Amino acid sequence: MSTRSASLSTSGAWLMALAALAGLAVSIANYFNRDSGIAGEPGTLLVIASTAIMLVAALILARASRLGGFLRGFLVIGCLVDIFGTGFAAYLLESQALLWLMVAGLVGWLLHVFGPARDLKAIPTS
Amino acid sequence: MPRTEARLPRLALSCLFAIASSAGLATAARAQDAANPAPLNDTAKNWSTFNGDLQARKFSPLTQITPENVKDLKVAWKVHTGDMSDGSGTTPPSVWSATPLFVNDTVYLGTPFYRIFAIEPDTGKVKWTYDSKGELKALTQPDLKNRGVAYWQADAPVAGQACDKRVYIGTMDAKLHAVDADTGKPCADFGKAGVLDVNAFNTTNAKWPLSLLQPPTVFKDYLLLGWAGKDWDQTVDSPGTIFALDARTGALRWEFHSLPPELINKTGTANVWASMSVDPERQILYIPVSSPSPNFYGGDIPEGLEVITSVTALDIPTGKMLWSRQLVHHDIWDLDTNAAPTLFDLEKDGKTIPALIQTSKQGFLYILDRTTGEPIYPMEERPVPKSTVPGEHSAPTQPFVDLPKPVVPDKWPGVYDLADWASFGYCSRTAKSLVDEGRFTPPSLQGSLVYPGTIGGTEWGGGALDPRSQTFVVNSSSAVQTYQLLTRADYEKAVSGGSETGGLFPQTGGPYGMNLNTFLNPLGMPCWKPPYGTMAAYDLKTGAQLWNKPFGQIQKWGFYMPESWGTITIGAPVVTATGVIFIGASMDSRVRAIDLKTGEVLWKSLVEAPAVAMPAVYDYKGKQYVVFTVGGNSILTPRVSDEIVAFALPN
Repeated sequence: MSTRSASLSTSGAWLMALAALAGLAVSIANYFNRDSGIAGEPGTLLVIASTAIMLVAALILARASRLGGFLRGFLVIGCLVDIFGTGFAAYLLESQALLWLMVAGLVGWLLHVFGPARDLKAIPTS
Repeated sequence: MPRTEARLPRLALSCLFAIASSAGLATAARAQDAANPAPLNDTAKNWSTFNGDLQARKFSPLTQITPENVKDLKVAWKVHTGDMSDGSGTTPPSVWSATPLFVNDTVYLGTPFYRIFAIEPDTGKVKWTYDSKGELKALTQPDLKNRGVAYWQADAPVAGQACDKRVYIGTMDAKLHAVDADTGKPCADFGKAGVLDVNAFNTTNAKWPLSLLQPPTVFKDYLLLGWAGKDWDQTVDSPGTIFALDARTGALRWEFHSLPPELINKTGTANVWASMSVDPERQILYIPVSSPSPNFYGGDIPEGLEVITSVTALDIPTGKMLWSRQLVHHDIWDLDTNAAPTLFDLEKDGKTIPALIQTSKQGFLYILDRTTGEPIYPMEERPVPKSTVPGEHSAPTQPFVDLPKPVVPDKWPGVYDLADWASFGYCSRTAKSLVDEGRFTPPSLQGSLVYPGTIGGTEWGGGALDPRSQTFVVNSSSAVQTYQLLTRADYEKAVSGGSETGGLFPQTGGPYGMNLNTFLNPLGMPCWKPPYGTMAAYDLKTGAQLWNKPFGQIQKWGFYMPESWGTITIGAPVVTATGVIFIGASMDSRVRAIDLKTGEVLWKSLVEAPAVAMPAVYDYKGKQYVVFTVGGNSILTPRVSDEIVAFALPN
């Protein structure tokens, strides 16, 4: 086992959080805007929930400097699954704004995981 | 009766949604029909009747919006009437299929709460409203339905003279109201203080009011009126009648009966619930006659009744029948003739033939000589499966039409693997257990797979015609249904067993009840292969199908399914002189513009609910508008609306 810096970029996490927040706002607007084509639909509720979860997870990743490795890993993987799931739902809901926001979220995730390190914390790797 | 929609089980539909006289034609069209004098009220800029013109062509000669610029259409105005119901309260759900009228420099609309709205055509400002105070109860239909209003004006209307111009609206409780078109005030000389109780004519086998959901057809000083009721509940019902009324007084001029007097103790209906068309020159009314009651068993009905399930021509001055062409013999499938035939002059083989084209639930397109009722393209009597139900005597043959190509094929599309896998083989197992002998497989005690079923083919909107190119466009649905007759004892057991959720209908007074369902798997997925709805174009000069494409998109839980699946379609297209088709009709809350030449979607816009109506196209002060009624069909999708939306090009 070796260790490397858990140098996950907070800027990436902040980008994810912003994308999730904007996605949440778009989805709520779609739910209540009767001209959206998806107002009041269960699928729209689903993306409201998924973007809200993504927002909370991304904020934790951005703000919490002392996270256990398992929890951080869980949140990082969870965010990726959420981004792809929400993106696919956005595709089927034909919500282009949400789809592009999930692309932005994915960029944030990539930055978070592979971007330049800032606050460093040693975590075990193998 | 417009009960077709009413009978779709919500589950099926959730899946499937999950599923304007005449001579209002432009110069070109006028030239085409030079022999036809311009009917009252009509100019090229108006949309003054339900179908755009008396010939039911749904054609606008306007040219401002083209295939090239249609993508720039923007909302010009919107109006919300407030008249809608999702059925969650005490008011039945609303189904709004009204064609907006544009005439007298005003857009007129009827609502499913039986109110009239008069709207400024360029701003959307409401000029006046009229409340009929019609009963908001499900008296004959499970939903509150309205397909709009009708307009009449005197030969030489005098400005300021009350009721020289009138708007009419009917109600579920059989009241026909006439109001002044400029003020919305009742016309005192019509009926009693502006209201005619049409149910006063309902004197035979009356069990429910003669619901007036379809606006009357107006020709000269005649109001030509059909009605809707229900023919799945009882064996003996009110017999089908057409009323010709005086447009000024409401006085009855004549009535036409579709059933012979000797049968009125054995059956009923065979009514005309859809719109009608008129040949103004010949003064002929063309009526689409529905099937008799009860819909799925005809043991008591003798053979040879030519008027039921037919297209029939009546002489307007006298009400006498000129001819009748039966489209389904001894109809035991509820294949009502359900749309006004479109009238046109067919250029064929160097001859000009006065013709009509009749769409149908069975998917055939019948092209007939409208002066004789004789087929222009071949109709062939072919043997069909015999009923095995004790007491039934199904017809040995039925008329088939191969040209033009039917809008749905002769055989059902087959089990859809995705639906079958998802239900662990339910679809294929069920299909094997059903009687399937192709078109006109009769209802059976075992259960029959019927295609196209009563919700299939083309619905009440019919098609639209470009009279210059003689191109006809029509939207249709591909739906598979199961028909099972139940002995009276079995029916009572089924009802008491609590399964009265998906299509149990008593047919009281007869030996059998009925269980009719759309063929879905337990997850609510259609068991048959898509597409579930298409749009097609035909060259009527040759009968050739020019294109046929899936139309609309299914939405389930808000998620859009592939475009190749299409949707069940309710509503109708209109065509403009530039070759643009405008249509709502899909279940996905979108309105579309389609290229007449290619079938490609040129433009689409989201609206609040499915626009299950036909749009109207008009010109006001040099600007072309396309206006859609957006009401939804609560039986198809839970999404209903009270929206009227007009589109136009930016200044």
